[in-house]
Amino acid sequence: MVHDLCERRAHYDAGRFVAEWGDEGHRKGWCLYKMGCKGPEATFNCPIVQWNDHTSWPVRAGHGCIACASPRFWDHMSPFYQQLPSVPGFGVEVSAGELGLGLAGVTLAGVTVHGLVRTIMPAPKPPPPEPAAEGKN
Amino acid sequence: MARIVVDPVTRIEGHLRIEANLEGGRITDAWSSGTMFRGIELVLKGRDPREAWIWAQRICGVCTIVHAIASVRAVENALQIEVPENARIVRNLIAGAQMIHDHVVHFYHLHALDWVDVASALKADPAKTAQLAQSVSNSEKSSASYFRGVQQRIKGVIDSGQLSLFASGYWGHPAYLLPPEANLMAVAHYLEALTWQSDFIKIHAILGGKNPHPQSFLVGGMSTAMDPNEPGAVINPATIGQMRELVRGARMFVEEYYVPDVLAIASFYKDWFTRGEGLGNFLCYGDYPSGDRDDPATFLFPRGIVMGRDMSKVWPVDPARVTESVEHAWYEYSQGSAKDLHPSAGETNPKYAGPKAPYDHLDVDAKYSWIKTPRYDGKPMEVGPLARMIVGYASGSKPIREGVDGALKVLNAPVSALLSTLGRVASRAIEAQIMVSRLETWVDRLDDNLAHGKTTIFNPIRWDPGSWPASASGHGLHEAPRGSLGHWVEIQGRSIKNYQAVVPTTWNAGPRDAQGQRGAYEAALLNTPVADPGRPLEILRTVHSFDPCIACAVHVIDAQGRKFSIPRVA
Repeated sequence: MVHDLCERRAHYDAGRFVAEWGDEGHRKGWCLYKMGCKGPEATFNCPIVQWNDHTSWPVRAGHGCIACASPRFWDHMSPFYQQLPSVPGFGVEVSAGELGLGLAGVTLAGVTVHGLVRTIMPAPKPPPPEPAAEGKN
Repeated sequence: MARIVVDPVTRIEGHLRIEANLEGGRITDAWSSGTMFRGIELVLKGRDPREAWIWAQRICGVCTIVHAIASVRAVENALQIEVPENARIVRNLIAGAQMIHDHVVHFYHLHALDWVDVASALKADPAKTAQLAQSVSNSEKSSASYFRGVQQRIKGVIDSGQLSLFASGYWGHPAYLLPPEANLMAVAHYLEALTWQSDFIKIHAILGGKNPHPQSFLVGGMSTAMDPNEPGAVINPATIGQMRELVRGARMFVEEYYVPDVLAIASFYKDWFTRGEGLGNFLCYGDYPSGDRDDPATFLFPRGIVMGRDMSKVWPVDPARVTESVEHAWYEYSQGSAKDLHPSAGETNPKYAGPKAPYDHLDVDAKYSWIKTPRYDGKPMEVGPLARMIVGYASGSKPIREGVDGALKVLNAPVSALLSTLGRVASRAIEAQIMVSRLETWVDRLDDNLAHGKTTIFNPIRWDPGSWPASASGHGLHEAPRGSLGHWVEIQGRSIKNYQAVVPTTWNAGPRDAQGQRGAYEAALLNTPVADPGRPLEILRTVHSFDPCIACAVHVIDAQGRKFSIPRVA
């Protein structure tokens, strides 16, 4: 999980969030959750492996994860700048409810992490037919 | 009369087909066809315009940032947002690095093998190759033992029978004119370029998290927060140092390999300074601002048009005069396809009307391409590095005049020689050299701003969609490695109502218009001699000189014409 492996995870647990692009938190490398980061929904190892010979990855470049390796991320993860409703668990210093995050604490008890996105995003369209034989350019 | 068909044209991005008529050993007519459909414009409709750039840049993974830049500029233009100086510099740095990377990869890995015979390199004398290399460059890697080592590697590949990258070349073709030593030097640098490019592009990872598809653009600025004292900031003294090192490596590569190789190879092929000249009309939107992005007076590459090879006059550019025709493209317009549309009202309605595969020939009197036909004031235009150099030279740009005159002096050729197949190749090398100096000044400027506490990177004025007007329209222009790129966006409420991209390869590879005027590829192929119709190396030389990028030109595809498909993991 990108969120669990993220170098900014300690800031999330401590309740230190970027509130506006370029603000103090952004300059200090705080958590991008409130800027729409989809790290909590993204099951990849980018924070560990990184890109271009272990040089960096999008969150280090100051932008939220868009879960771009996720199947049908274009339906499930967009809009990219909309904050995920709540991410349960791991709140060491403050809980998601104390952060006042939208729907938090209202109806989400018992909803799994992977179900969360679908509660705010449009229902996925049925997949198109599989091509018989596909050439990649 | 014989009809030659090259399909697919390889060593390009995407799927391109060329049909050409041959009479008396020369091309008498030619047709360029993009054989796949994309529809990113359709994917963008209804989305938040602040994320349009994330989708638009996935038009292509080669010049992977150009659509992001054009897209944020279009939305900023629509919503009237100025971006801070630091964001402008970071965008220039990302785009400039892209241009240098793209030109080097194009020259060595996509184009050089049209001029360089890999098989001939085995016959080279390594000691003489070392002499040749030392006469054109100060590169450290120029000893006889170095070239002997490269030669053994090539021999190993050829002896293995697994030619990989070098399979299906026209090796031994009579149009290859380089001596074996020049071939060996070029192949050695082909391999060096592979290693260098993967290192250099880390600059995109520093400033964008990754390449392809760096992820640090924002409508209103960049996400690359700056702070001289925070290691968590994207731009800090440590990352400035890393960027400086990468730019130093780029200068070394461009000056010690790329430029000398282009000049050395070109000097053996002087006939190609009189072939492949094409339309003679050149369009350049201009770019790389040192001030307002909409003020061409501050551009590194001047904005302008040169018509009919007349470099005494530079015409102004008005984006309102850009149109797209579908007379010969497999699309239809809702109000009838006879009327060309401005991109702000542009439509992407695919309607394939070509022959059922497999087929021998396209019906070129009817629709024959997935690429639309862009026109400026009804006129066909060439865009790209050559257009930038021609418009810049005619405009009196100092760095461009110095670069062009310097290269022409070495080649002992007049300015008119630029209007040719090799003129395009030389133009890339010249502008790479200009750009590498600029990268240094931009890194210095960021460093200076950091030192003076000037760290603003984002303008928040219109981030909240509640601050937007009920509707807005805008365009974003960019000089991408392959030429003039424009995005047009129509915003209604909080979402995208319409989106169109008119891209460099659409300008260059587009089919004829309703008046029968040829596109840039089609015009450039006229009169080209073809020694062996079965191995049309000469066609590849001219088509490759434009650096085709068909994914961009036709804007999600599969061969069956379905709009979307789920990629399979093989």
